[in-house]
Amino acid sequence: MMYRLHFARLGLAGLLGLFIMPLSANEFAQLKLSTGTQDNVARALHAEDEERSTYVRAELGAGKLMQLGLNDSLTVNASIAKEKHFSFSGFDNSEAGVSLALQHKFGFGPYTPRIAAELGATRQFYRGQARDNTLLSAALSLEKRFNPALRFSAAIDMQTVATDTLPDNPEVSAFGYSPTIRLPYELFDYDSQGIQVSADYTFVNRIILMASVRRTNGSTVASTTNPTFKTYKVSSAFYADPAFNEGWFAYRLDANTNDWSMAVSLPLGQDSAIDLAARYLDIAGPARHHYQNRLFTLTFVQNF
Amino acid sequence: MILLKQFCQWLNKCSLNAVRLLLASFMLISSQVQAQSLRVELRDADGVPVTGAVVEVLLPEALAAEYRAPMEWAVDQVDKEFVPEVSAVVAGSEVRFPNSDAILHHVYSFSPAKVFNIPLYGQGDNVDFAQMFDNPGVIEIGCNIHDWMLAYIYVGQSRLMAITDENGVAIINDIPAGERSYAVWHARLDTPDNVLQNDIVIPDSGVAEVQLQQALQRDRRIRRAPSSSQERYR
Repeated sequence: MMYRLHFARLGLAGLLGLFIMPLSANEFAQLKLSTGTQDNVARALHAEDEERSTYVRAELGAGKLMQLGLNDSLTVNASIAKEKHFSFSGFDNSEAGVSLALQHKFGFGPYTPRIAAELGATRQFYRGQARDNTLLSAALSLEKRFNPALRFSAAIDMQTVATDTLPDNPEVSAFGYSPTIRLPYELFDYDSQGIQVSADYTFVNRIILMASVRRTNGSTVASTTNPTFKTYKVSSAFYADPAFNEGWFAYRLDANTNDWSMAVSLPLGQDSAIDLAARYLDIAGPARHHYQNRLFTLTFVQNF
Repeated sequence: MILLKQFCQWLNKCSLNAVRLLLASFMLISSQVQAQSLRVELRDADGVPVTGAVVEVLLPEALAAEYRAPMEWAVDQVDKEFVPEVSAVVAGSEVRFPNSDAILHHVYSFSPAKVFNIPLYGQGDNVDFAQMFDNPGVIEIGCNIHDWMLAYIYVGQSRLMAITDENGVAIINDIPAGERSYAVWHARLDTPDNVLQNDIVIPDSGVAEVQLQQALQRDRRIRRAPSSSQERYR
């Protein structure tokens, strides 16, 4: 609860603070409205636990770009988001985040390469404490546009996800598979590293086709109605999953994720677009545990 | 006697108005198409009128000097766009780059005809600063903050230039009659250096008309509309 208040204040203060900064800066605001579906919201390893979820999401971000010099800029951004799931209200969440990005251009113009270092902090609030988490991230990205059509970018990032200490749960303590294994409760308490390569191509009619591949080495949190000792042994955290009804448990696995995505962006005007995106996540856990998740998203983006 | 005086005054007033009317009509007609004029109509490969192309009558240097009339011009920045997108100025002209947006802009050009850089300035700044464009050529200008902002300044050798309108038509008046050359430039013209050059005979009176059809290259402007995966600041 304390965290919730703290981050709500942080998000609001961030948004307000951005607009009272000196005027040697360029303000911006962006609204994203999206709807999407994912066919394995539980990140389930077993087919019987796979659940499809459809959601809507609204995100409002605002920030300032401050030119530090001819080729250097600092972007400060604050955002708030709300996501509503139609089938599983336990996945409804609110989010508040701030980020700071330092960008350097190696010259002038749109075709000059640019490098950026970004730090971010995001707090997500779910129903129940177990899924609430704070994400701290650091990323380094490199971008190069070759012509009006083709643009490449690559990035590496590190993420730390932290959660509050969770109280004892009778359902969880009743498990007692093994007296020697006592898993922590904190599901969202892990580090990950990622590398991403993406490219986009703008057609003559201004439609953009985007593709990206991302590899994340870290962890994943999967849910099940039927936890087994085998699962318990390979997990690094275990707790009752508050996102679903009673009888669901969530566990954290060390996992490597390959994330493939493609998107088409149709401009609606000078400052707005509709994006249609498809993502395929192939998540490899320990002991050859594997699962997939497919996501389809329709997003409206408006810049102000 | 008094009546005669009043009649003379009325006549004087009438004739003055008539002369004014005649002059105005003449000026109106002459502003459209004058004798010794060139009318160029440019269309793309699909027959769509091409707007923003500069047509210039090329004169021998000695003759061009007579038509050289440096001017003062301004390319403004409004809602993160250059206004106008295409300008035609005579060599020796001064161009100002005011900023009407409440944000910073950074105007630059790498074009060989004029390399310049006006770093970071806001609304109302740099209003008195003017950049001299003394060499003929095409200058592509951009904003180092807003990558999609793009404008062109065509620096001609004389004032015998015009920019095609929404119908793809440019009319140049007051051209010395005789065998002349003209150049058509457009940022997307699919020709070497985006220029098309032809000869034409300008009659002693009347209008020389030219209809051109030429394929265009793709637009070099970066898409301004955001996408969900790109950086937020646009």
